[in-house]
Amino acid sequence: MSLTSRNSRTTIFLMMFLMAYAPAFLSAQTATEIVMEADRKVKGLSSEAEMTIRIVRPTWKREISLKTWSKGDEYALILVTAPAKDKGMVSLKRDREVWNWIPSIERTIKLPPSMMTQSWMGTDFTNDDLVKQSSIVTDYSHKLEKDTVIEGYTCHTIVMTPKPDAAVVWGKIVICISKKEFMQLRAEYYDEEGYLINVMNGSNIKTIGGKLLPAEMEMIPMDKPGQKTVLIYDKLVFDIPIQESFFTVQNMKTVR
Amino acid sequence: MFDRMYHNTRQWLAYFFVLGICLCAATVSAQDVKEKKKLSDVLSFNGYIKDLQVFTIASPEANITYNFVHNRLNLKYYPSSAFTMALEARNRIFFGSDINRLPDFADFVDYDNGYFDLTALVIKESSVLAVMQIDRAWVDWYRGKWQARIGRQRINWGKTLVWNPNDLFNTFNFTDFDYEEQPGSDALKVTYYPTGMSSIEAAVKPGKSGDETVAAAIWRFNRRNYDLQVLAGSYLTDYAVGLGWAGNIKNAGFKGEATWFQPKNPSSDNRSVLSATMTIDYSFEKPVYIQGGVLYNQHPYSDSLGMGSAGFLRGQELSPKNLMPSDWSFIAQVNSNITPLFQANLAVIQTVSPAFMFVMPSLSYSLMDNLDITLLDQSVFLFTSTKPNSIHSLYLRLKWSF
Repeated sequence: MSLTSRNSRTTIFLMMFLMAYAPAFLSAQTATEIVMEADRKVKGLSSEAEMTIRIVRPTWKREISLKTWSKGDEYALILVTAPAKDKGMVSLKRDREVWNWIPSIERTIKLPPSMMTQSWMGTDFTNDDLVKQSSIVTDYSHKLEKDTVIEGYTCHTIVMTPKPDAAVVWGKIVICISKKEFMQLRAEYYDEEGYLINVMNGSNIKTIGGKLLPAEMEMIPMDKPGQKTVLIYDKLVFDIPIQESFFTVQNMKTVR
Repeated sequence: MFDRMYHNTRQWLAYFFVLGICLCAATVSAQDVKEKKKLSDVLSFNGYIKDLQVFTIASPEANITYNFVHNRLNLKYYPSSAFTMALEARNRIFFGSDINRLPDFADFVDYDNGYFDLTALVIKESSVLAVMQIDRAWVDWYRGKWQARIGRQRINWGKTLVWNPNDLFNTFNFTDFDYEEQPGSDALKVTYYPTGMSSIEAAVKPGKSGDETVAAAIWRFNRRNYDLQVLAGSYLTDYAVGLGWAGNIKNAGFKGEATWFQPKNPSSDNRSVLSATMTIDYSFEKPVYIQGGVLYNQHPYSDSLGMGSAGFLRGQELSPKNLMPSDWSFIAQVNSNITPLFQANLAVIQTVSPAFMFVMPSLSYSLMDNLDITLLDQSVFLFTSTKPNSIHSLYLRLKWSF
């Protein structure tokens, strides 16, 4: 069914994004420790957010609004609040299983795992960006390079190269993390030939969720002028008390 | 005479039911005013307006074209954390002199399959038909592990995406692409959730007699990454037992449903039937989604093919016991996002006996955030011994969601 698969892709992407978005907070000294700490801190124990995703193309623009909840890496729930045609759709992730709730047909649909690993067409994020963000710690070797300044913040520059046995699509990732505030402000994604493919920028830095964070993240593909995907946090709360029972098929039908 | 009295009684009951919901809503909203809740916290409203231009070619001398406006209004009211009320209406206006040439068209669109008649033919002119229908009107109570819902509702027990032998209450009609919500059932449903990932549900859809009543229970649970369900109950003139699953084989989705119908009074016209389906679906990284499936119907009603298989397209005689007018049916489906705004789909159903092929290609384009245009074709090719017979319907649809 077209309806199901299109919506599924949308929400799978969002779910991946939710888990992947990783502005970093750092206190450690070595490059690996910095990345590890960043990964651990950004996810928190749990989170609740309201966000807008803006897909920008040379000739058109679309926006999706969401409410999201997460607990660790295992659990996530996403409610689409706009546009009107998709409003009320819910996606639930429990470990490796994903379900969609389609309110118009009052059905829960279990998604095939292959849908988990594909990117959502409308955005500029690849599967690897989205699904395997946690592997920035274990799948890459990390090396500190010279500092840089982004939006007035002095940043560590860390070059991440995949370990020999790691199944990753990038040849290299260069991330910039502010030294004092521990924000991930820029990431450059290179392919195996060393060409720059995507750039991710953090901006609109403000206190959100009790932490100083870039409230906007944009992903720009280098070979497609006028094209980008922007994620804007309207609200973000970390470490909320949320039970595993929130992330159930029972709850996805009634969450608002 | 009796029929008319019965009909009138049911209509009155229907009015009282809707009136009851409104009174209930008014009472609770008085409480809300005291608690000063925001309107958006207690009320949600959405819907769509679609315009369809339909071209049907049954034979060179029987081409039919008409336009129809399809509007849906969904109103939900949340008076408290325990209660939800819903009232949803479907309004359709058909234009065109050709609608007179469609056999029994007014009766067809005015048909209400519920206990109450909540469908009204408000305009019946030579080239205009207007139909208003309330297809959802329910009150839901939900607390902790318990949930109960009474009224006109969709009870969706299906697991697969094309044919649903487990779906005893609101049979899904794959060909009715313009009405994904499907009609509701006038029913009572009670659900108990032992855990958040399992449920036991019992539902009753009363009819005039036991032979028109559906009463069944379903147990759903999740084991080893599989959603499983078993059901049992009384389906009209049969007893029914069934099972369904949704899981995966490697990275492909693997879903299925089977229901066994055992007549309460077996006869040559009413035999036991096994209705079973299985599907496999897969998503490629380039956004292409494919699905393949098979349906087995032990005793199909072959006469439902009718003239030019109009019966099949209209969903007449469609039931979980007779999902296709053929013993074996196969489906292949491809769906691709050519760009984020442009989507192409193709579904092909091939049956064995009687043999016919149903082809449904479509193209959809998102003009704006909430405005979509779709071009869709439905073609049926009948392979009879004498000559091939075909019917084609082309739909051009503009949909605005709000």
